[in-house]
Amino acid sequence: MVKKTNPSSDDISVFFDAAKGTMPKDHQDLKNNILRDAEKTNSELNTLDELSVFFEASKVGVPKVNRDLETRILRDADRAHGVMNASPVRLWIDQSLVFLKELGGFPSAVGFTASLAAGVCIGFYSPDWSDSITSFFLIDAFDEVSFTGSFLGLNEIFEDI
Amino acid sequence: MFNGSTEKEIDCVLILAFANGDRKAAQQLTERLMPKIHAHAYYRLGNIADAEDVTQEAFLRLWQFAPRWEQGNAHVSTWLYRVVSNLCKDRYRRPKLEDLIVAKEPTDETQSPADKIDDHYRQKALYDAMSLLPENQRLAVQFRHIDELTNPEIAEIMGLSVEAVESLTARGKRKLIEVLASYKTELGYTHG
Repeated sequence: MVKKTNPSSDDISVFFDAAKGTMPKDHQDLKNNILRDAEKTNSELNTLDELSVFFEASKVGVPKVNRDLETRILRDADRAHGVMNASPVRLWIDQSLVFLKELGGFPSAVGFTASLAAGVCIGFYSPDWSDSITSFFLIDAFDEVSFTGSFLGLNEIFEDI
Repeated sequence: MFNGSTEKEIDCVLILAFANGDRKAAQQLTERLMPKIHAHAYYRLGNIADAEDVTQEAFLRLWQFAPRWEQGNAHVSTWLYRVVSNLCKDRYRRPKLEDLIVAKEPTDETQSPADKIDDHYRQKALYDAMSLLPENQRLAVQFRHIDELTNPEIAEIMGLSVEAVESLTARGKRKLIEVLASYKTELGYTHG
C-alpha cells in the first residue's frame, strides 16, 4: 500500500515550472492573435473609409418621398382598420357597394335590378299579356322540338348523301 | 409615453396600438418607417414609381398583419425590410441608372453644383460596381452601408447567420474596392 504524503513545495514547483514553460508560448499566440485581429480590423476600417465616400454619396441622393405615397398608405391603413373592426354584415354591405360601383354606378345598378325583377316576374307568373307579345313577334312559345324525328331536315340531307 | 423606449420598441407599441383601433398610430408608423423602406426599394429598383408601389404594398401587408402581431415578433422595421426586399426581388428589373441620377439631382439643396456632380459620379460608380456583385453580397452591403442596419438585423431579414452576413459584407466590400479602384483618380478621391 502506498503511503499518502503531502506534496512538498519541490513537487508542486514542477507544475509551476511546467506552467511557466507554457506561458511564453501562450502569450505569443495570444499576442499574434491580437495583432492579427488589430490588423484585420484596421484593414476593414480602411476598406470602409475608402468605400464610405461612395456610400455617403448614395445616401444623400435618395429622393424625397412623395406626399401622395403617404396619403395612399394611410388610406390603406384606414381600409385595413375598417376591415378589422367591421361586422360581417357591414363587410357584406361594403363588398356589395364595391360590386355595384364596378357595375357602373347607381344608374346601372337600378337598370340591372329592374331587369332582373322583370325577368323573375315573367318567369314565375307568365302573365296573360305575354301571349300578345309572343304573338306579335310571331313566337310560338309552345313549339315542341322532336328529338326522335328529323331535326331541321338534316336526316333527309344525309340520306341524299 | 415613449420615455426610455428604444426606437424599435416604439414601433412595436405603435403597431399594437394600430391593431387595437388607434388610427393615429398608423400615421406615426408611416412617418417613421416609410422613408427608410422607400429608400431601400428605390435603390433596389432604380425607379420612383416602382419604389412607391412596392412601399405601399409592404405597408398594406403590415396593416393586414397587424391584428396578428405579437410582442415577441420581429421588429416592425425588420419585418418591413424583409417584405419589401422580397417584393423587390419579385419585381426586379435592372434599373436605369440615368433615372437614378436624374431623380436624385434636386434632393440636397445645400450642396454646391460641383459637389453634386462629384456625388453623381460616385453614385454611378458605386451603382455600377454593386451591380457586379452576386445578389446576396449586394443585398448585404446595401443593408449594412446604405440602409445602415446592424448585422443581426440583416441576418434576420435575409434568414442567415450573423457570421454569414459578415462574410457576405466583407467579400462584397473587397470586390467593390477592386472595382472602384479605377474610379479613384477620376473622382478626385485621394484617400489610401
